[in-house]
Amino acid sequence: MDDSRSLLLDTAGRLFAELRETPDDADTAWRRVAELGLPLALVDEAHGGFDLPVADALAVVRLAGQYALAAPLGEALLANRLLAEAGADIAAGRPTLAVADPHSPLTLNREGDRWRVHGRLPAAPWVEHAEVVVTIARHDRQNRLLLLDPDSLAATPGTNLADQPRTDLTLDLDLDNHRVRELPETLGAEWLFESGALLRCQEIAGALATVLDMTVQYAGERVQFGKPIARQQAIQQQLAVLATQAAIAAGAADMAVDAFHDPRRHALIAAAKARCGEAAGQALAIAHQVHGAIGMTREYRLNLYSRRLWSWRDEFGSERYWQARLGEQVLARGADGLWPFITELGSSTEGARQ
Amino acid sequence: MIDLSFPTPPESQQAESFREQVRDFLATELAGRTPLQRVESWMGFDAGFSRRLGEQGWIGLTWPKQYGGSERSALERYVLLEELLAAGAPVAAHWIADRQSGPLLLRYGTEAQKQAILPRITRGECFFCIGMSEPDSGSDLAAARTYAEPVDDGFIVNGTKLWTTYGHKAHYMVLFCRTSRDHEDRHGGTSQLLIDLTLPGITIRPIHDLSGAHHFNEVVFENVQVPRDALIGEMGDGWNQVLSELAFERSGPDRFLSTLWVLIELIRTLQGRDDDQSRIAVGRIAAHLMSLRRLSRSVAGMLQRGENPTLQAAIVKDLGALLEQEIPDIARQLVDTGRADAAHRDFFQVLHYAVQQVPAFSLRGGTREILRGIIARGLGLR
Repeated sequence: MDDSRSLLLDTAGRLFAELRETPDDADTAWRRVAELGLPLALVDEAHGGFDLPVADALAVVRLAGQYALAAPLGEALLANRLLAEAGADIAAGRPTLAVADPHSPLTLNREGDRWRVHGRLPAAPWVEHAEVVVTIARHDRQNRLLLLDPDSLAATPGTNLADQPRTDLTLDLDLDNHRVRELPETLGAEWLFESGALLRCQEIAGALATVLDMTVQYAGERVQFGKPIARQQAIQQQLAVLATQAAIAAGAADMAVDAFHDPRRHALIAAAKARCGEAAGQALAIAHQVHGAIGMTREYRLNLYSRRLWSWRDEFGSERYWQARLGEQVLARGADGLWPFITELGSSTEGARQ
Repeated sequence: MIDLSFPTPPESQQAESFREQVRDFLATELAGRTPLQRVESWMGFDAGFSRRLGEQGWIGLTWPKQYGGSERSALERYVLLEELLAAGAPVAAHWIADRQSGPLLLRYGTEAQKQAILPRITRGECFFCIGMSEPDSGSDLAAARTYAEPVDDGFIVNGTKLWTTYGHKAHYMVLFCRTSRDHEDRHGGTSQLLIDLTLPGITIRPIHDLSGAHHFNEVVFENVQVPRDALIGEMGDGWNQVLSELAFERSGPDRFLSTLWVLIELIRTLQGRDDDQSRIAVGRIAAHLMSLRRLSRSVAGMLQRGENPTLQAAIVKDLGALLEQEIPDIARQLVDTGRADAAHRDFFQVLHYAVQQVPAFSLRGGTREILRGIIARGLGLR
């Protein structure tokens, strides 16, 4: 790890550790994270950002998952990136993003000198806390970033299992030209959905690292039958399996991060999100088994992680969704195309890792 | 935090162009080989194939040229191994020598041993078997009882090795044995010997596996006189040496590709079916393969840099065995195996072969329980 990356992660880690003491205070978390400039981590220098390598910027998102950060840093990073790509002002405070279901994209039409957008954005994260909500639609073979004002939207508020705000938005509104900006061809609605899945992979990997730590520590402290339960082989074997799931989730998330600029990112992120989601379920089952009844309480910290993980594995495409998308590609290549498919995806294309 | 990190796997254009070269070679070499032959994976034995691979310079690929090697990178070797396995090449003859016995000799062997043995391995003329397990020593390797009594001009060996894969076709065994009568010193009293299997007093008896095939053997040593220069490395250092040998054994693509041909024939069988169940199941396996392959390649990079990835290797092998074992089960969920369809004969043949092999995948090279014990130790639990 080079110096700038470790400096960034050290600084962010110290802040996240401090904010861990108030896990429900999203406003404070938002403010402190913004003060450090972290929401700009994926933005280039010309737009006020840091010009960090993508892998470094996204490492902060994994760290946020590891510390169960109360603020949606990942969403803000990605939203700011899109604002910069579209040549719009970076949101000083709180941008967030929303995605349409891949099967029912938004419709965007030109009406007079304005735009008209129609469709649904289900479970949009942190809308009520945001100054701007960005999403992507396509019109006349051109991707466009929509800058939505949260106050103007028909919204049904809700939360995910982890009490993180998730709002169903129904769009049927006119937009001024400055709220509809051109995006490059590669940055379509599908790109946004994939990138959301990538954020969740990072958060899952981070949270599982903490779940492993907590569970190993607890097993070392909890005494039954006269010794710590960590001394029981049955528990050791279970903790080993938990570790393998945390490790494969981290590896899969790394694969997704490396795919950020890769033209074949769809298949790589599909594999990563499917694998991370599965790892989350398997790891949590063991973490709860080892913790026993205390892990089922609201008071004990494990639930901060387990409820997030159970939510994140569903968001931006569940295992079933991504497995089907990946399986479709594998089956299309046929039996003799399987191995070439796997190996092609395993080697990066020119420039894919910048 | 517990550090389970797997560094970014190394990459090179050179390795990728080598991949094409290997594929071209195998396409010609393996033409006409049936799926049933290919699913044997690294248990398929063909001395002629190994010789032709040796002629390419592809055995001992990373070894120094002075010992017949090609001095290519660990990454290129990884590419070669996975292409051999994915193509279902019959690699068993040279596999153990290339994977662990040769590297062991390179690291600990005497100059004379290296010069005498390594070039022959690289030519595909000299095959090895592993002399670890015994009737009363499986997972508990340190319980080995085979005793090499030090005498003036060498050793007198007595004992029995078991589950010796292709012992009946190998030229040499790396024997893990006791060289001290002090049984209190479970680790310190052990050494490794290079055993010429033609020596008088060695009897190799077949053990047929449950499918009826003959891979396993029992190798009995009765007063076998072994010369002093057969000692590999240091006297009494056998335990440390054998552990380093195991790191080579546990993280490669041979630990998750054993049933790749079941998946390949499954996909062939599913062609034309347009259903979510197939897509989801195949996509899930692909997601596992892609993720695991990344970890395995990461370990290859760590080995290349001379690091000791014991923990990471155990993680790869544990996850890999689960995947290899799960593939036939998943295939059975997708295809009604109660109604064998002649049109899918290859699929049923590879499936039936695999069903009989998969229990071994979480036994060979370290049982699931042993690997998880290693991981637990990495977590600081033991």
